[in-house]
Amino acid sequence: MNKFKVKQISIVLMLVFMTGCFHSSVLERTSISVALGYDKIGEGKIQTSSVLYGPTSKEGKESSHVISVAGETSKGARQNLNHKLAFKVVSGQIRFIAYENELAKEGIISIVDTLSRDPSYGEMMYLSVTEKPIRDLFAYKYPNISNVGTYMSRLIAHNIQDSWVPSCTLHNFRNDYYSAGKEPVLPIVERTDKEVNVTALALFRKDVMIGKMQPKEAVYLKLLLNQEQPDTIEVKMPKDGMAKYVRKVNQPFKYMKAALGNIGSKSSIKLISKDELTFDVSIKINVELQEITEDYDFAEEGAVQKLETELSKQMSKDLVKMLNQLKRLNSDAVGFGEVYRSSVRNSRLTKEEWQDMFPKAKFNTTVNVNLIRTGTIE
Amino acid sequence: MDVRIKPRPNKMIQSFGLLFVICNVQIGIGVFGFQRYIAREAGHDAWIAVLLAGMFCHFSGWLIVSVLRRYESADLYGIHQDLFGRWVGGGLSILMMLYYVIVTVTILRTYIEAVQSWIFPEFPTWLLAFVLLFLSWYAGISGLRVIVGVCFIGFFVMFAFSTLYYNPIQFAQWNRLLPIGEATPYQLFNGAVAMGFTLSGFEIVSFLYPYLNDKDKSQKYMQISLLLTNILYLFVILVTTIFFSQDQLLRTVWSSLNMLKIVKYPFLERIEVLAMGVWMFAVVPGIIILTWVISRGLRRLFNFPHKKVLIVFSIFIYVVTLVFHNREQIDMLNSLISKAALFISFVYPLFLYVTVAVVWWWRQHKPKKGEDELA
Repeated sequence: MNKFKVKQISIVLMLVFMTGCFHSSVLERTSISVALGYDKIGEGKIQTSSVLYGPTSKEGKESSHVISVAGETSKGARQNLNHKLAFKVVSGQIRFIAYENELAKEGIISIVDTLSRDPSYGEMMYLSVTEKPIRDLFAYKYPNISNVGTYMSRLIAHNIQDSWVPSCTLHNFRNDYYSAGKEPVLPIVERTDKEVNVTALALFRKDVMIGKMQPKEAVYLKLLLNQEQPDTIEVKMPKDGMAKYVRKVNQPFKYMKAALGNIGSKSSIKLISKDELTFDVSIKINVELQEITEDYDFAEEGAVQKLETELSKQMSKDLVKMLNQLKRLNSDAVGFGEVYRSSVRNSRLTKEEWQDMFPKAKFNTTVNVNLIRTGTIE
Repeated sequence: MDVRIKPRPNKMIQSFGLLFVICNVQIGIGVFGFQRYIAREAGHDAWIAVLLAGMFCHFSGWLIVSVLRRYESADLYGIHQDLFGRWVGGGLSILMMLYYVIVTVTILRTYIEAVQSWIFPEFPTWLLAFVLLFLSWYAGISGLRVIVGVCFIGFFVMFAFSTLYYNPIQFAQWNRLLPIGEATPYQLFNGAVAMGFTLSGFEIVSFLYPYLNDKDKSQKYMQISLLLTNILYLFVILVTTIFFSQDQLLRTVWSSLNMLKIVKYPFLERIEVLAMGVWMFAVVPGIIILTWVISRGLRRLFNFPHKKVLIVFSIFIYVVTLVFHNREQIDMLNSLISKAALFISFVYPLFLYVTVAVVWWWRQHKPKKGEDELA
């Protein structure tokens, strides 16, 4: 072996052995943050609370602890976290971020952008809003929840998958905020006694929270967003023509309620007239009946069709109600602006223009319910 | 210096190898963040601009190979000398080499900058630059065949990683592409111009040409490799447009990496970090080829020995790379070089084609003058 080869080999070996020498993050010597919360305390001060992984107990139960610090900026507050911790905070495992509504009402884009600026955060963290201080939600000792941070992210993930919560990741928020014709929405989470729950949706205009939407309406919002579909939809309709199909009446009733399992739905939004700003909003939905409050006779001729038309009628009404609420608050959470922008040539729509236009929009709604089956019994 | 060179058969490569070399030179670090420069000009019609730029690219590639075919077995250094004589031609060749030095520095520094912003903020520039240049020198001294082999790996890394963009498609909002053709022709043209630096690099075929075994297939493989690159870019820009909202895209420096941030596997949560590292396989071949081209030039013009010269200016590139400190300087470097790239890859081949046509026509009609030069 000549000298040159020895040199070559030693350089290559050096490269191999040097790979581990760069700074490493040993699991036991880091404080892993799993959730962050931002509270407003006084003028221009932000309190950051962080849920961190605690040591796992002997029974294998995970634990968590919460620390809060104040700072002028969100990042500054996060740096201050280090003052209270034995190990360096790492943020790669953060999956849940909450903003107190006091903060959300003033605009949160700077804090949101900060998260996206730092590559150590993931883009798929869930954002949400709380009505009470977050510290209170994080620090409470829940009897059934060992780590509130990971629990929150699972709670939201599952509700996005199966229920009325629209996808609310960091990416979604920034995506909507920076698009001309759509506004972001985030879920509102709350601690009620010993549990946490998702109670409503926070509607935004740009990055400022301006209102709330109840789950009943939020279902329709989600149906229009073409994301994961909600599993069940509850409809409360006047009895009207359906009374004759009800076999036994225990007590007189005015309304009937039905719980529908959603098998598959498709929604479409079309711009009909650009001058009058009229949109055709239609939802086609296949459902199976899961529950109905009265003893309804499905065997009788026309009963199923009647139920279908009544459901369609009522859902169309509810849909309009939801759309009107959006119009009243001037928060286009559905993205009608995007439909407008993409169907009107040379519109060069900006967010400001669309905010002036959206309250004037008109909607023709049609909901087409197709009752596939009534479960295993009739 | 001879205009035509006859490399030994054991140093030659198949035309098929162009596929890997050209794709690798074209697709390097640029694919991480080219989208916003085009979107800034052409908005949601950016893909049309990319298509347009791609067509320019095919045309330019055709011109280059046509010129080379006339000369049968010459490289650009030889052609320069043949057309413009020893001094002017040599000067042009030196300018060309200088351009490639700056391109190499740009690639190197941009990649290091990306690594520093995404994975290791404190990673020293000198170390990474050293490692990358060492790799490129190591491959460079082994000759063209090894270089093509390295490109082959890079080629597969690139096309394998582009399948990951299946994931962002699931977040797509297709109506972002509508209405099609809203941008004015002027905007589209500007978009295509912005695409220039990203697409440039294919002109290095004019240095590889003498080394091709089956030269009659060169045009075919040249066009195929340009097509592959264009398809990849078109795919990436389409996915980007439907994934990001316009303003969001304009604020994103490395959009291609950002799109990978949403890819998540139970065993691997942050794939963009992996992509960043593996992308070294796509960046290094570009550096290797460019350094090879420069050292070829020094050998051809001044008869410097290839291996020694390679290490000398690897050190030179290394030093120049360390001069750049922050994003601003790197951006400046990028915008400066992108203008030059536009000229070298798209304007210059046209100029050369016309000049060659004129000069050859002249020589045919005045045989006495050109004869001894041609012989």
